[in-house]
Amino acid sequence: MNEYVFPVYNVEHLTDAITCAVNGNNHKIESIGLERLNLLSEAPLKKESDLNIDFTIFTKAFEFEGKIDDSHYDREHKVYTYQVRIKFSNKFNFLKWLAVMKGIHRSRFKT
Amino acid sequence: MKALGNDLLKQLEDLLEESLSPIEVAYFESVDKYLNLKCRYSNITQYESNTIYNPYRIKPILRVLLLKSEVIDETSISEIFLKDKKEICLVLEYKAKKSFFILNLEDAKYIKDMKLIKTLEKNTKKIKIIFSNHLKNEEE
Repeated sequence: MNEYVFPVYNVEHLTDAITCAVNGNNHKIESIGLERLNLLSEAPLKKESDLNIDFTIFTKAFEFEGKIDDSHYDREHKVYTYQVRIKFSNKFNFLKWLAVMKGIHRSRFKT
Repeated sequence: MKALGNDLLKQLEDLLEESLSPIEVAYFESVDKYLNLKCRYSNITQYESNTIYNPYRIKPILRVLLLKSEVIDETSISEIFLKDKKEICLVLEYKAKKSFFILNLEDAKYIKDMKLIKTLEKNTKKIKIIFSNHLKNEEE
């Protein structure tokens, strides 16, 4: 299932407000959506493995599980981009994440 | 304009075998890849025709999108929307362009035996055609 339902928002301008550790290693984040993260990595990640992700945005902390859906290597910048599908097992954690998505969407579109 | 609206509602009532009368419905279409949704028709008080809504704001649509995305399990989704059973959403089109039909079920007579839900699912194409024709007539 590679098709995503919800929109993805570029957050490269929010570098100072976001931290993301995947299996204990820090990564930069390119974009986020309700069901995915696009993260950047200088070293390759194992595609089949489950990812434990610790994520903070505007001081709100999240823990979720992720799976790599797709990847791309940028030879010029020597960086991998990983499309990671995220899943929530905790309803309250999910509702908090949903509130973040609503906030980002509203800040861009005022709808 | 009102006559056209009445005609639309009559056609929907007939299609649903008058299990809901007066019928309260809304119709939304996506306007971009960010799933901003334009309300093209509504006689439900909280949705205004020609207004653009974000996809997280319309609960029945959000519910079906969450089920589709599998970002969280179905039980949690049911718990999240426990108090929002008044309206249901039927996906009419799910391609690059997406369209959704919302039906207010507050006064439904046959909801308990699932007859209405089955009728809705069976008539997805017809409902889409009814709205397409209605919007075309309105534009003319």
